[in-house]
Amino acid sequence: MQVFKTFFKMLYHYRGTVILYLCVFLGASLAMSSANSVDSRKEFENTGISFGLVDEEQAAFGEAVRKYFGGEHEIKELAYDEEKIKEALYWKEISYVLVIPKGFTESLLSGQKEKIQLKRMKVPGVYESDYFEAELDMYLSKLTGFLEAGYTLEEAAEELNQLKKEDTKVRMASFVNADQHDFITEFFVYVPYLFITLGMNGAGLILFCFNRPGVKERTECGAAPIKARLLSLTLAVLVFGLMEFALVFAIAGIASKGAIFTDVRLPYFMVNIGVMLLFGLSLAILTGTISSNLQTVTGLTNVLSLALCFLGGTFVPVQFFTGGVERVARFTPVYWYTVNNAAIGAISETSEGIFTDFLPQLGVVGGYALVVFAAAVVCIYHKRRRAA
Amino acid sequence: MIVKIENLVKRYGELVALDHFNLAIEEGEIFGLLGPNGSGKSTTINCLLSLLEYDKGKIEVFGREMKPGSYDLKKDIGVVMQNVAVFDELTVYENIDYFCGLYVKDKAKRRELVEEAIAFVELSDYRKFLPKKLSGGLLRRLNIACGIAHKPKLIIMDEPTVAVDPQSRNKILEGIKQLNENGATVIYTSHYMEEVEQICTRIAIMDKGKNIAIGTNDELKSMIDFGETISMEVMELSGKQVQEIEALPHVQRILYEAPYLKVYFSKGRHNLLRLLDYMKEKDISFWSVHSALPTLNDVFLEITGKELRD
Amino acid sequence: MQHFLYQIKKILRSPMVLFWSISFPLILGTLFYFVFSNLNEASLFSRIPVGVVGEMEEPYFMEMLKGAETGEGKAMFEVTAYEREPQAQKALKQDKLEGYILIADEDFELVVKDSTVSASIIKVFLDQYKQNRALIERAAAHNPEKIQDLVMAMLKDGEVEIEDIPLKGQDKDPYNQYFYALLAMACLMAAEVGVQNGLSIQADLSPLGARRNASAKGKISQVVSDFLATLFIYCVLMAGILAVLVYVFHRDFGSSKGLIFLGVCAGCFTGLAAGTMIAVVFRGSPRAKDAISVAFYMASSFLGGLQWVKITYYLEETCPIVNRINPATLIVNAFKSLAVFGDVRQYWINLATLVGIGLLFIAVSIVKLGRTKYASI
Repeated sequence: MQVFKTFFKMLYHYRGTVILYLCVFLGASLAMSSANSVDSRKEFENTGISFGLVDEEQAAFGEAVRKYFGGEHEIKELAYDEEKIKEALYWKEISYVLVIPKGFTESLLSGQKEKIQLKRMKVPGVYESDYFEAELDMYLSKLTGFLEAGYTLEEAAEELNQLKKEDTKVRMASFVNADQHDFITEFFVYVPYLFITLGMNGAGLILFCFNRPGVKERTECGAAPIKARLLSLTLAVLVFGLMEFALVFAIAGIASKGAIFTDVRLPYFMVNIGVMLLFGLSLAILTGTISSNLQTVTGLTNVLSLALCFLGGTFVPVQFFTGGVERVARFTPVYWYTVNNAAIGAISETSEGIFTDFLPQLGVVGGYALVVFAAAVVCIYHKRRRAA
Repeated sequence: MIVKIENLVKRYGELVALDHFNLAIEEGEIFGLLGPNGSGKSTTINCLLSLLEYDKGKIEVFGREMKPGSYDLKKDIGVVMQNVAVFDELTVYENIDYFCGLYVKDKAKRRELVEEAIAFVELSDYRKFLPKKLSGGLLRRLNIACGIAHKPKLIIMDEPTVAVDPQSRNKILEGIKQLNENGATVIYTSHYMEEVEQICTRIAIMDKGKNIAIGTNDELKSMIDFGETISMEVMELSGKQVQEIEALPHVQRILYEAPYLKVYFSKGRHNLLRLLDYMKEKDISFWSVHSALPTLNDVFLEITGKELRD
Repeated sequence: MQHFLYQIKKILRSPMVLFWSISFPLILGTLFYFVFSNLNEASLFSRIPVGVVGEMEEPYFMEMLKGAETGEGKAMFEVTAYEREPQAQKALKQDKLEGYILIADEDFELVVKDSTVSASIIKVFLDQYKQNRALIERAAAHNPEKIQDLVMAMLKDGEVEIEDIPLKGQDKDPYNQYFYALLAMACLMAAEVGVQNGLSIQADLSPLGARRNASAKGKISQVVSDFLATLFIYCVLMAGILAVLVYVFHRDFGSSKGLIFLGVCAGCFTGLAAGTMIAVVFRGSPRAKDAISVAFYMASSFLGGLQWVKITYYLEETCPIVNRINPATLIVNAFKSLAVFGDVRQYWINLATLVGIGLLFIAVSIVKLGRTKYASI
């Protein structure tokens, strides 16, 4: 019991440090999950952007564009000043700039072979502006089609405004939970990041203190057998983990105003998160065992937490992984946790045998936890023998 | 006067670590600051070095007030800290060179001084060793070398022989004497009275932040009434014989636990002769006679009622 | 000069410091390289499995669906017809479909499991179909004489092209943002070493600090020597890391590699300065100060977009001051202004702000160090 109690005395001593890490990593997780839960629901809603319109000719085409796009997007009228436009793009005031040069409408209507071209400026890789550009391309394609068919510009614009109302209805399948992207599901996406960083920086730090030169030798000289000490430490780490577990669900409870506790998904979330917690804790034990100084603790934490979570789909959705990367990602426990989390998030009702769907993934994560823990135990015994 | 401390007061919260402490150290002395743990020795040293702020009093070194920014004074002061203060990443040579460089800018001169320091502490065979490869005694020697390499006029040594083997300790003490002979004034703090007695020209005994006695070894011992202790092994002594011994002149007290006899004499001459005469007269067999003069611990004990090492 | 060289020796002989300073950006850079190059390849399409329940009277609906092609001429959809909805629903549940189209009364709705990119692509295709159908219906109702011309015109590819006015930078890769953020974190991780430097000069934290304080060389002068030496080492390290990113991982940061390197040096400067300030200003144990430095660079990196690229956009809307003063964001923006926008002026503004913040940290450290008097050591 002495070792167990000492662990928590030390945790109390380092409470400032642990709380500081908690604030940083929990804060980050909350911010990301809050934004993602909003963004995910917007997927099939038309995502409006702020785009700049430089209308040098102030003619019918510009009017048509304003009418068609103005309802959904925010149009900022700009004068053509390349530097000012770049600045607006740089400071993210706008994501896209469309320039209508002088004489464009005339050129469009005249059917000249050498047409005056529209111009654009945009920052590459911004999803919303790429989406807007696709919409713009479709608009222009249809507009020219109408004009070629003999419509006037005004008629064509009016037709397009009417056609805009033709929108495919999308619904989620009945077996899917409408709240699959609620804050709780999104927050739980970041739980691996939280568990790994807090576990390694918190529990790992305390365990490192037990392994400091001098302290370790003095402990080895004591009468307490190593098995008993190991058991005590593991128990202490588990209790630490339980505190993390409770914190996660406390936050989920507050965010959902208690709804999570009556949610059909709750037991599945708890099991999934519980198994992930075990992995985080076993990493903490391994870190505390192998680290010879504090820099190693923080270094390992930084590398492992970010690497595992990037590969595991915490920061970049797994749906984008294909080929070699997906194959490698499947070797990370965080990947399987993320897959399970998304599947659990989508549950709308329980049914017999539903838990078996999650078992293989849970098995992978649990297996990793066991392997890492076993590696830690081997290290402990190996170091002991080496010291002797 | 090389160091003058007047009326120094230093508090740690409610605890008065230095209580109107006064001290004056002349040039050329090896001045010992003796006292039990917690008496204020290290606090005095740290205040003297301007590492600690104090509540009241004045400290002068080389005739001028010592302040944190007195770099011209610090140039002539060398410090050997109680805890080993070296860089783990630098070798023996590099550590000494580094710290010497904090005092001496000239590269050629510094090289010379570093070599002399290495030779002085007899670490020539270890010049390329990292500190973690050195034993405790060697590490202490390195610690000293780092403090004295720049040949300071005033050397402050705060318990430099803690956890050091006897051989290294003797070398250190001899080295200090040599430094003094070469012109340095040394302030030596310790709670090992034997060291202080061995090398110090003048000693101040501290307790509870106060200077309770100051003087040479002999002066301090002359402050107390206690003269000498004669010990011997005696086969058999009757109670009457013990009383008779106790009645001898200058005997303060007597301890007898067969076969060990210990007689405490106050100051006086021929104490041993009188005792031996008595033994002979009474035909008492004895052997292993040993006479011990009073120690500073006895001085401390008499003044404070406590042992130096509690 | 002597202390400058000794500080360099000390750092070079502290393997853990160097190891993590190098390994973190390299390991994560490697990971990013594989993940993001894969993402670029992922936009090389794989067919989207879509189900169809029911039949449209128009026979060409299925043909259009099956015949839809990507820009590279590959088939867009893998179409499976189902007789009844439960079958399609089962396939959707088993991840055999991205969605299915439920046809009823010449209209349809799309049923999906989640709002994925593939589901969005199906929707866009269906929207197009609906709009084209409505177009013809409207033309038939209002302008029947133009139907034929309209259909012919719609079958052509659009003739309106949009000329791209390139931003002057050469960086077109959207994922370079992650590498910039990674570099920013690697620079700011120098704060940990800054803390160690700051601790080693404080008399109340180590005997070494006491010895250095008692010496004839001013502690500020010693701190500055330590700082410059450490900065030198970090600049050399970062040059190596940049070289790996550019020549091994083929990240194109633009032609101004010198300015990118300068940006990285400024980042290290500010990171080191932050660490020194943390060690000097904050009260607490060395471990606590270490933790503060870790929290500093983790928080700064997060706000700079390492884990979540969009955060800078959100902050621009809600709290733009953070983007203006957060060191990681300044570093990322400096790189972006060069590489994406080719805007050297903006680069220098970011750099000046970054260095200014670093100088502020140093000034605070110097003032605090100069005023520090120890009540106990």
